[in-house]
Amino acid sequence: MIEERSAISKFYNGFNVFLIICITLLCILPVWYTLVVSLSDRAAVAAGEVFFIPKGITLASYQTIIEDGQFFKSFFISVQRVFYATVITFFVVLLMAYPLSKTSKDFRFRNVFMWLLIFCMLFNGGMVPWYMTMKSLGLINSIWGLVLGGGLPVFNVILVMNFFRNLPKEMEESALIDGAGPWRILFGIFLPLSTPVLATILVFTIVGHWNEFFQALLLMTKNENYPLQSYIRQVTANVDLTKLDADSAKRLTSLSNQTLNAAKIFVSMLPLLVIYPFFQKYFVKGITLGSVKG
Amino acid sequence: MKKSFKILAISLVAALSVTACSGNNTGTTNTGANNSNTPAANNAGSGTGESTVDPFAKYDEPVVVSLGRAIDPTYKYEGTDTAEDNLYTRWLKDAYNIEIKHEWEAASSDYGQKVSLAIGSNDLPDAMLVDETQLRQMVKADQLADLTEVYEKYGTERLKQIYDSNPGLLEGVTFDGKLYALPETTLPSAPLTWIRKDWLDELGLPEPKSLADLEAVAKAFIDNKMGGENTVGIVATQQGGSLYSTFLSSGDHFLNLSSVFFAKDAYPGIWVTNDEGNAQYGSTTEETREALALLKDWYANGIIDKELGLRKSSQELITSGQTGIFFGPWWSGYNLMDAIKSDPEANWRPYAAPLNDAGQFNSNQTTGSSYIVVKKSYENPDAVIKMMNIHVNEKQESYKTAVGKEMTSQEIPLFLIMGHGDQLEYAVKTTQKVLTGEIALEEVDKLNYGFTYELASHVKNVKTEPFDNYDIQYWDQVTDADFFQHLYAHLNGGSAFVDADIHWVKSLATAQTKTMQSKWSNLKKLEDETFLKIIMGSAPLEEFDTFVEKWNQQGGDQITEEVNELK
Amino acid sequence: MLNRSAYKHYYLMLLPGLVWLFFFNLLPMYGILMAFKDFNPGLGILKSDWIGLENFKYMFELDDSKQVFKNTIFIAVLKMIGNLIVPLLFALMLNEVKNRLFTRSVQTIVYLPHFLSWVIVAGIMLDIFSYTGPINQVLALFGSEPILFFANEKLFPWLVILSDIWKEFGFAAIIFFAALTSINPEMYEAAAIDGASQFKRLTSITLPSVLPVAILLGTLSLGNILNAGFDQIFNLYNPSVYSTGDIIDTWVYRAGLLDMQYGLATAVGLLKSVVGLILISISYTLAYRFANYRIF
Repeated sequence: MIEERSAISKFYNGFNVFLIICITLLCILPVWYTLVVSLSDRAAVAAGEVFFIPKGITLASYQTIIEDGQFFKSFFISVQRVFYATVITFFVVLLMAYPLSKTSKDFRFRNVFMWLLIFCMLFNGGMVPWYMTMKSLGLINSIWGLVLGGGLPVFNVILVMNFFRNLPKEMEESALIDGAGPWRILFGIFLPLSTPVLATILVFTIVGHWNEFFQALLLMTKNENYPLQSYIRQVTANVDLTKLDADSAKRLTSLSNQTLNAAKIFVSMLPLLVIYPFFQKYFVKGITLGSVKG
Repeated sequence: MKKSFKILAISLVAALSVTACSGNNTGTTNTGANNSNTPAANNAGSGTGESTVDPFAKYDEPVVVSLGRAIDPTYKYEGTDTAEDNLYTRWLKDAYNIEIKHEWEAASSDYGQKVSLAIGSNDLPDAMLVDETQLRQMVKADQLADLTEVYEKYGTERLKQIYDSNPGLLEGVTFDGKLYALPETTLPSAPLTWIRKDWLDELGLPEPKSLADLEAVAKAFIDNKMGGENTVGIVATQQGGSLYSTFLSSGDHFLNLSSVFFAKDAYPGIWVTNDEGNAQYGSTTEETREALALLKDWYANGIIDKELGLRKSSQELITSGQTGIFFGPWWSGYNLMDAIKSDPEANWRPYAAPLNDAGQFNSNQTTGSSYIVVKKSYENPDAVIKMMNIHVNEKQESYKTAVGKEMTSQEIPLFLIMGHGDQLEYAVKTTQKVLTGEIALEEVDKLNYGFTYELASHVKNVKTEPFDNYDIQYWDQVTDADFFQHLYAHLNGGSAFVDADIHWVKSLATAQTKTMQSKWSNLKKLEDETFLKIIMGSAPLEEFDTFVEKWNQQGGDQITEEVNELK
Repeated sequence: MLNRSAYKHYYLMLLPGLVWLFFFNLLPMYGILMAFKDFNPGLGILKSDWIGLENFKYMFELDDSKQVFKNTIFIAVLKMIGNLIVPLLFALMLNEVKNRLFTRSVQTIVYLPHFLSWVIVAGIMLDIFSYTGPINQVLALFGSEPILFFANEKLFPWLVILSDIWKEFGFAAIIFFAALTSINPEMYEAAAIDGASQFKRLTSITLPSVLPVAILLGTLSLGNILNAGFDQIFNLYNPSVYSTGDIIDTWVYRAGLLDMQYGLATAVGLLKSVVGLILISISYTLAYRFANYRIF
């Protein structure tokens, strides 16, 4: 690549990198802070002495977590949930995206379906009807309730559909000439080419289900059935002081255990932090959305 | 914080229940016998003719009570026990054939959401605990069982006694002549001024009595940097908190500015009677205006935390020793444990101050919070009454020997604080007397005041001489660490409260009127915004007058009329 | 071209998704009726009294509703714009760097804040911007008086907008970066040979290539236009910034808290959805007419 290698250019590049590094550090700060708090001594944290360096380093919080049976139970429930959701989402989205990627010339009611999906993405009936629907479907307290309860992930369908739309037409046409039906085309041709976008929606699904906590609170009747984030939220959420229950009062000291909370938060983030770079390879390539020619 | 308040309460009733049973043997003598009334019923079933129903009879067939429960996920049960299946619930099944099931559980922070959902979707458990707003919703939606008869028929003497000693309580949950809930008994609570006495001593200052005194003390603390470079004078409301308790939510006056208002004879947030004898909203009175003027002044001079309403956690300032003054109820002692741990010399003492110009100590009365409700279609509301009977009365010998562990609200379903109106006073006074040896431990009324007995039996381990000095150095924090916090809170905080001569002002209204339902959130927003801005200096004091005008225009007038009709 | 026989396969493919949609998106939608009723839980949604547009009327009659809507739109629109421009700029900057390892690591890290909840981030912000916190300390070095950031009505919306951008830019930046790296380098070379300056290359090659991505992201975020961020604002605001910080959701939350007003909350939700739908439709039409680009 022809490029001017003048001093200005070098300075510009250096400054650029510097700026990037600053911004990146800014992003890592809160995570770092959480880690630091989780490793510090409780009293020091409560006294507000801890900022960027742990004070009185101790692994006590992490020890408590390891000894806490429920933490791992919830962890496992989240893993289960993510697994089922990923598999189901993968197939459903893939299947849906194909017909929707056709033009309305090739598939007459395509627009109808598409707008139906958009409508469902925007409108919802609220917490109470949702709960009642789940109840009548018998999905209260069920992991399938968590997996399916969020409804069809329309955004993902749109992403994959756009990707399909921008694949070269020749591929499909030659397959048709060979007499291939839609299923063959979808699974034999489109699917192998779609690794990037599929990896992308995989990441979205994993992150989305891993972090979701609210629906689980409504749907699950027992503490033991909570996925991880709901479980963590219970112990870290700011309690509404005017509506506090008798029980929590007594356990005053454990409620304000900021180090333990920080440790729980940090541990719950770890799987995502580990998985994500792994997928990033595909993820990065993936979201061209066919928008770039060449 | 309501939570600390409840520490006492839980322990109180829990221990009351536990110890009550130890004072009882085969059931011929029971708590009922301790009153002047003849017992209405007792375990042996020898009814005295009040009714043919034995409130303590074991059911022939198991009766299932399905509950919605708030639980604490960090609570340690005995062995593999859970909230649904533990020593207490098993005993309930064995002794009374009452089977507890949990229809759903939620952590305290999400419990309200779950209840709201249950109400909204009309999918209710047999019984659960709710707050006042939820109670009214359920009454409106006709979802509740009428408990009037079952209460009369099945309630024990003791239960009725407890409610009688707390006047107005049952009336509050009676709608159209029907009893729709079993309310919790609450103790009125007033905010005390908590000060670092060691700082006062160091600067040679006397304990403050008036607002002017308080101002001087705060100033001295700041000028002398007693809490370090960034000493804060008075710490109060944090982000998300309120400036004072209101008639709808109290927060028990913890870490807000109620005290300053009270000392100016102002009662914002509740409904008072004005000079003409009519109801008026406290926040629109002249006195409130003056209190705001004072607070504005204080803030400008740095007396009050500059980050009023912004601070992430006011508690942190206390724990880290950066401030020496805050306002809180008698049980604030519990919240000081962390502070004392990080600085064993921190000598926090409460004072029944500031007094108003006439030397009086004012306070408004806080409102209750929890109610047991039973759903309309439940076939056995008597089972719930029975559970309450059991809760407030003694338990059988078998339970006592089987258990031996203090039962808390985690084990006991439908837990409410049920006590005589004077439980705190008794606790404080009696413990003091046992400490000095004036009365013997055995003389403590274990039956009615179980927790006091607990306190009294540990007090000698925790308090050193001189017995009537509650400064921090005269406590043994180590020997009996668990009870240190209880005794510290009760004796240090509790005594100041109990000994204080308090002028109580009660709110004329304790729940929403019709117009409030659609206008109150708007009016409240106007109030909160205006007041905070006035204090912090971003609005002039005259803004208050504009506020009163707008408030009346936007529905306040109408609401005031409605409250007038309540009187 | 495919003939009609392909249709039955298409329907079959759509079936699982439609079933999912039906049970979990469409069925609960009857709840929208609550917006038009005086909801009584004892009677259920269907049997509760019909009150037509009263909830909506009430919403607009309140003196503060104008203010609340204004705040919501201001914050939401600026967030939307910021969440498009900043990631794009950042992606452009990153694109200048050749080192793959560096760019990969950076992308991973800048996505981190997205995982944190607002409860945590808000707590940290309150500390950092506090009266005696680091920011004010730095300001003091420049001789300025300490600022009470979160009590300042003018600053508050900006704190909200900027912190949201900080939290979410990583996501869009990655998408933009992917688009940028897919641009064929030969195009740049050709342009350079033709004498185009770096700036010209940017405007003629780079930006047009990422335009579709920008449009897609922008459009989809339009659906969210009236969600100015409840979680975030709830954990940051206080009464002294209500005038610029109170948004539709926090206001409805307080109204619902003081008296469980399901009808009102549903009505507001419905309004938001309708506005979102209108905006998405408009931008879809515009993109199609002017850029010949079908967003979906």
